[in-house]
Amino acid sequence: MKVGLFIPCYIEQCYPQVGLAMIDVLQSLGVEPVIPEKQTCCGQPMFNTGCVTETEKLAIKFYGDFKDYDYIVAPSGSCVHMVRHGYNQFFRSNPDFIRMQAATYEFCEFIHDVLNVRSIAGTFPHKVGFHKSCHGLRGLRLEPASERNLVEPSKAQSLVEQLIGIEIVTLERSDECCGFGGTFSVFEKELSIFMGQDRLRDHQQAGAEIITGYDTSCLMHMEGILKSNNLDLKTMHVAEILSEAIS
Amino acid sequence: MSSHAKEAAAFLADEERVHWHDQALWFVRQKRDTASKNVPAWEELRETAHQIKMHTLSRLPEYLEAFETKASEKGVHVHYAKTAQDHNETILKILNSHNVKRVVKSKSMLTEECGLNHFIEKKGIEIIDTDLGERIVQLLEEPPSHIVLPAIHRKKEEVGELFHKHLHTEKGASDPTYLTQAARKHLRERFLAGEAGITGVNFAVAETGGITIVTNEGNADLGNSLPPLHIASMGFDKIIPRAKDLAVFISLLARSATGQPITTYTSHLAGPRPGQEMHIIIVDNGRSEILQKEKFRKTLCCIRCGACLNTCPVYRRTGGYSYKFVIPGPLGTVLAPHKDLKKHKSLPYACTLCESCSDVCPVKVDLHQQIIEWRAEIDKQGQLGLIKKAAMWGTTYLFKHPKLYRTLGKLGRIFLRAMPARLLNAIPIWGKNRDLPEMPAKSFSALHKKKLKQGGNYGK
Amino acid sequence: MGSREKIFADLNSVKFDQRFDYPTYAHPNSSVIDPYNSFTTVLDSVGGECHYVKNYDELKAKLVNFEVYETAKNICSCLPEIEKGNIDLNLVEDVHELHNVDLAIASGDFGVAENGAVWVNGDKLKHRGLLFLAENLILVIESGNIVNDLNQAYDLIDFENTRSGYFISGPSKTADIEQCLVIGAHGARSLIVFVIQGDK
Repeated sequence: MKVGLFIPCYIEQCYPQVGLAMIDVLQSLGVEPVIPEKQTCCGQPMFNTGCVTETEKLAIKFYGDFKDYDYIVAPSGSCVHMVRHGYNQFFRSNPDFIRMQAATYEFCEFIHDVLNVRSIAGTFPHKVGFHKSCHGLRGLRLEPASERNLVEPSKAQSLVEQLIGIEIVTLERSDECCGFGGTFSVFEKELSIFMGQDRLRDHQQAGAEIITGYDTSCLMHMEGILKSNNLDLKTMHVAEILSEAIS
Repeated sequence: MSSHAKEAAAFLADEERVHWHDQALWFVRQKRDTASKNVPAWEELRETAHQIKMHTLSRLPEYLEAFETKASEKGVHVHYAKTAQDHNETILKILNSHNVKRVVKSKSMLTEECGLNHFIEKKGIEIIDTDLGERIVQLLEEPPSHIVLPAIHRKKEEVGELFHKHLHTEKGASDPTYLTQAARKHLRERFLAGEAGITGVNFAVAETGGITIVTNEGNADLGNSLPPLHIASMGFDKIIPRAKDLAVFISLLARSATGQPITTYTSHLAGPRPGQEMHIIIVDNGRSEILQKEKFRKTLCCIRCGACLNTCPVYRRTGGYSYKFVIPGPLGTVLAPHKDLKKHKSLPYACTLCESCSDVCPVKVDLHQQIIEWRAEIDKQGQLGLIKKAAMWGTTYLFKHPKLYRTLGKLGRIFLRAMPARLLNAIPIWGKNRDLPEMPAKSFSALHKKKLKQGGNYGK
Repeated sequence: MGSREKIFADLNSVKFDQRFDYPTYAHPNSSVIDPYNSFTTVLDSVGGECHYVKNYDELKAKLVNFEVYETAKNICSCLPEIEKGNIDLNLVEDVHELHNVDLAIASGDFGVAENGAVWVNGDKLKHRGLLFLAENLILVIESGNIVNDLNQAYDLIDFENTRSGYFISGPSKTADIEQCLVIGAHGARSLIVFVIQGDK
């Protein structure tokens, strides 16, 4: 299968190690992903601001960059949510565009749904708080959401849960929003930071050493707050944990 | 700074109070979770409720007419009010025709929407809100800050002070039981002296011409069982087809609102008591405009449970008043722009799109979807603002030109890496108490290219 | 054009692009296995009390020991076989006269296990306001019938011929002051339910 990796802009610019870790893990599972060179952004910031015309331009570009791949995988629940759902108002009469949308997966989701892998053997002796980023959670249903009365699989947390030595701590609020919210983090700054502080406090009281999740944007926001407040916590993307665990 | 952001910053300044407010509402959310998990068919109920509502909305003229006919047959005077003004004037006319000077009113967000109290009071008629939370905010002369828990923003000490002033309770007393008993006594007198009772309507059944009203306090029932005149106000979106449908909605309502399996009283009234006159006012006040807009139509399924407010991390931490609209929270956010898009354009952006609201909504209103639609509408109507517009054009251009994007990214990283941390984190755009990420020397693409060049097993 | 005409004109002009049919639905019963047990548990959790009795005699024997009965000066009973009371509802002209009823005894048609509610037909009472004015309320389910859930409950009610009917679950209450639950808001401050399981 031809797998193309979509690397979100903030991973491209600020957290390249997440992309590299993702490649490591996929290779260990027998997948040789390709990174299409011309990719840039899925258009989510534009879409979330309300700029549909600008979003469409980037949707066209995304399609052009990725249409030749059997699967498109991204280390980001929110970008994948954008492609699979946000793009639903574009190109409804183009079956190949629709195919591309359906073939776009978040990293953990790809491992669970396409590779049918339920656990990865490795060691990670740390106390970890799992942050269930909202778009991946309620948009892609990567995890069961606390609001709903449904039995649903865990696709992300389950991957790290079985690592040897890991302890996933119990949070008081298992899936409350961290307050990043894209441009919200800038335009409702005080509230954004207040919400992030609340999340960090929860992870701290639960005894977490490391906060992980499938969306680096949330982790970036929480990392910024914990660093500024000198908290004894660090953040790692799920791919980074898996990559370290299997090495 | 946007309107909501300004209000938010002011509310957030009292950190302890924010935690208190947030925790109080989260507690209600948790009770809702527990209650919903005790109903095995919960998700099916939600879907059924949604379908019943959408079906009804698609056949409103037919169901409204059926309701009107049946209710009239049972002796109810049915009125229609296109606007809030029509609603208020109709009620005034009815009150005047009976020389009413003392009204007792139970909870009705619709009457709040129409500004009924102020209108009636100006005409020299006393109108007392009998829901305890509503009475508290009425005495405080402030609007409710939540559609179900009107005084959630007030501490018991503040209520104690208020009751000391108005109800002559002991100074400094703040025990909720003591204060509630004082309110019971005070409002009992009003119920007995009331010449008319105004209530809201939770559901109006087309099949029977009957209405259903739910309360925990029993105030709506005293209000319609004592005075010789009962006026019930309802938005036309309260109509449901059959009495049997109540099984679905009543199962969902209290569990979603407060985590109770049912409210203490679920009252079904079809026609007046002997010797009583009963009126129902069916109100539009902008609902038909919402119905016209396909993308926003689902809002009319809303059963006003308040679950979306309780779950919203923004509402919990910024309070009802930061929305500057009669209804706050996610529900208010999708309703307000219909009334005045320019005034309320900050509301759809006072949201992280966490989608929790849509997941708790008992009738599956696609709240988060509508918030996104409003953002698009704000841009379409040219209300986005120059800064946001320019930023979007700029970044879109950049993202369409990968080489330029990567070059600028490289330069940006060099620049930011060169800046001393203290200066960097003083840049206001990212905020106080939040550091910018440490910029790596190389981008992912650069590192990846390097690894490919180095060969070995990488990229094979 | 009056409001009615304007509203109907506006509503009739709305176009729906798809059909929204009335759903056919049949809900699986709530997970109630033992309705009598569930009813008691839920009613208890909302501040009420439930007592199962075989007949009126057993009820009367229990009744005398309840504080709300012992301390009641004014009792209005709609079930004279159980208790005569000293206020005859049928002789009351104006519902306001009932303002000082300490204890009201009325009949409930059936109970609902999932939410501890009792269905009370208000039409049976000359003044339905009694249910809400009384300081304390006792409801007697003479049929002994407790259904599992609201789905079953609504099937039992003849709405066409019911002008007023109430599900009453527990005493009145409020949590409007700092989310602190207070039992006894504007309606009854206590609720006791008797369920007669044998022949009255």
